[in-house]
Amino acid sequence: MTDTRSFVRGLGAAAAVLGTLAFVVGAPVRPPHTGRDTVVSAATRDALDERAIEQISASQLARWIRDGKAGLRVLDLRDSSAFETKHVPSAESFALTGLVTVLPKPGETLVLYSDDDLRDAQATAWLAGVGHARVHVVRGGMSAWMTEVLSPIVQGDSAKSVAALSRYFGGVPRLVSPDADPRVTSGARDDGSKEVLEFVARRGC
Amino acid sequence: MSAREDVQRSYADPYLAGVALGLVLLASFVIAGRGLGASGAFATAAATTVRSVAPRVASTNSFLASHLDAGGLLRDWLVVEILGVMIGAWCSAALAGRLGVRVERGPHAGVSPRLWAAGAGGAVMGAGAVLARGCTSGQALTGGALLSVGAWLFIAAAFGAAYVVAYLTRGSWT
Amino acid sequence: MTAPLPLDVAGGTTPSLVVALGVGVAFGWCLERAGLGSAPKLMGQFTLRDMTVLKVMFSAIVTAMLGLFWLSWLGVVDLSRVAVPPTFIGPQIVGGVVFGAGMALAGLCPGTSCVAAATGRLDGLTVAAGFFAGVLVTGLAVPAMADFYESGTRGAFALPAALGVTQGTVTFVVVAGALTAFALSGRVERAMAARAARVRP
Repeated sequence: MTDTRSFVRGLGAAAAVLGTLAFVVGAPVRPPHTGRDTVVSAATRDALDERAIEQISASQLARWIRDGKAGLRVLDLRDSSAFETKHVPSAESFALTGLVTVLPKPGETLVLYSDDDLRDAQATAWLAGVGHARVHVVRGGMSAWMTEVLSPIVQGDSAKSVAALSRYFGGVPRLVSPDADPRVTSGARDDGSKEVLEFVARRGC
Repeated sequence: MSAREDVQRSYADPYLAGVALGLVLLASFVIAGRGLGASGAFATAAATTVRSVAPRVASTNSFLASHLDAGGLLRDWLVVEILGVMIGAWCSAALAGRLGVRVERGPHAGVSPRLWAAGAGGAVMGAGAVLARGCTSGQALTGGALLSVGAWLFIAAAFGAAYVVAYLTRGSWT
Repeated sequence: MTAPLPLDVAGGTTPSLVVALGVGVAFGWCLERAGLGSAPKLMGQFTLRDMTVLKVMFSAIVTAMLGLFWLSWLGVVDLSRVAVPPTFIGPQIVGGVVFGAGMALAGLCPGTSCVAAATGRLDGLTVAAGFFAGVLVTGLAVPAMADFYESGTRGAFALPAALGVTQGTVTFVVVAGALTAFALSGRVERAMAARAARVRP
């Protein structure tokens, strides 16, 4: 009888320890590893193989930011000097290990970008494992933001909307007329171009 | 009176039984990717019954139709699980000498009132389980372990109501 | 390959049904061992004389909850692939109240009624039959109350996300709450027994 009681007490103590450690650890997943040469965890391998990583275009992210999409959080996974030089407006800088502080919230949408596909995959796998419902990766990362949003080549039907989107972020859309040689581009020649150049110079962005 | 005390003493320690139950639940999560349940099995049985009598009603009712996609009563996960529950319960009782046809009731309760209350209480539970999408096994245990908000609300509501009704009918059990 | 294994539970494949049977047998065994197939013992919880229901339920919840957390941390289980019952705020609160009231009347819940019935208890059989009827009638009525039935939908909604805290924090709070309840339950049982002894001549 007393054997049972002391065994039960032992179980209770074990529960107390495991519960306290759970509080300390926070998320039921080990923090993601950094660096290409680190051994890729089983969860990441699964993500890379089985789960399709939800990619969006840089333009789609731009539209979401401009339209003030509810619950949007943009996470920049590059190192801090790259972030300081230039980052997507409203983006937050995170190292992979810092992602533990990003808590799941209902209605949130996370968009990640970096300059490293493997890092995007590791982060996505880890965030999904922690319970984030909507995690997207910007296809092409920061370079895509530069070419698609900040200096897009605009032509055809969508020219106006693409150009407007670009200018919203202080970009300089490059106009190409339908019969012009695509190798020759010119800066946007309308009233706003001078302001845009000044805007970009002021903000950096 | 002492026979009842003997029976009480032969029950397992509740904490040990609970931990064992938790390990069974954990095994279910880990192996099958889902937890336990009971009311779902009854819902499938009810849906199957309605379908055999009035097939169009069964297919146009969203609740009943959702319990008819397994392809047969014995292909439904929860129905097979509940059959297992009965087998396991029988084995445990047989080993402990607790098998016996009787009507368990409070010390001052008659058989007939007990059975009426049992049937009525069961029916009321059925209504609650349909609304809540589960019962103490599916919502409280399974959902509780998964930290589901709806499950914990269910636990609080069910325990609260049970304490109130138990107090109002305390004569039947004490 | 991480757990859960791809058993296609929804499709009713034979391996998944074998698991269902095994899990069920163990479930029924544990419930009967604990005495929860006996209505008077179960109702002792709600008259505060016998805290077995509390001890069994919360020991089980804590065990499974800690197990999931740490197996996930170790990378053995992928939590995103474990089916979480969806949350419907209104229906689950109202359904809970209705269910609890019915359970106190019946003295057993659906699962324990099957345990009782399997061991020969006619009251268990009656509860199960009543439960079947209640589910059937209410199921037929679902279209009539479709608006309420589908209200407060949140999908798979876990407490950490709802409260804006980590899963580890909620886990810790549940463990602490359960251990505290266990510590107090002995006292409650003794107090109620003492009161009953004074009342009895």
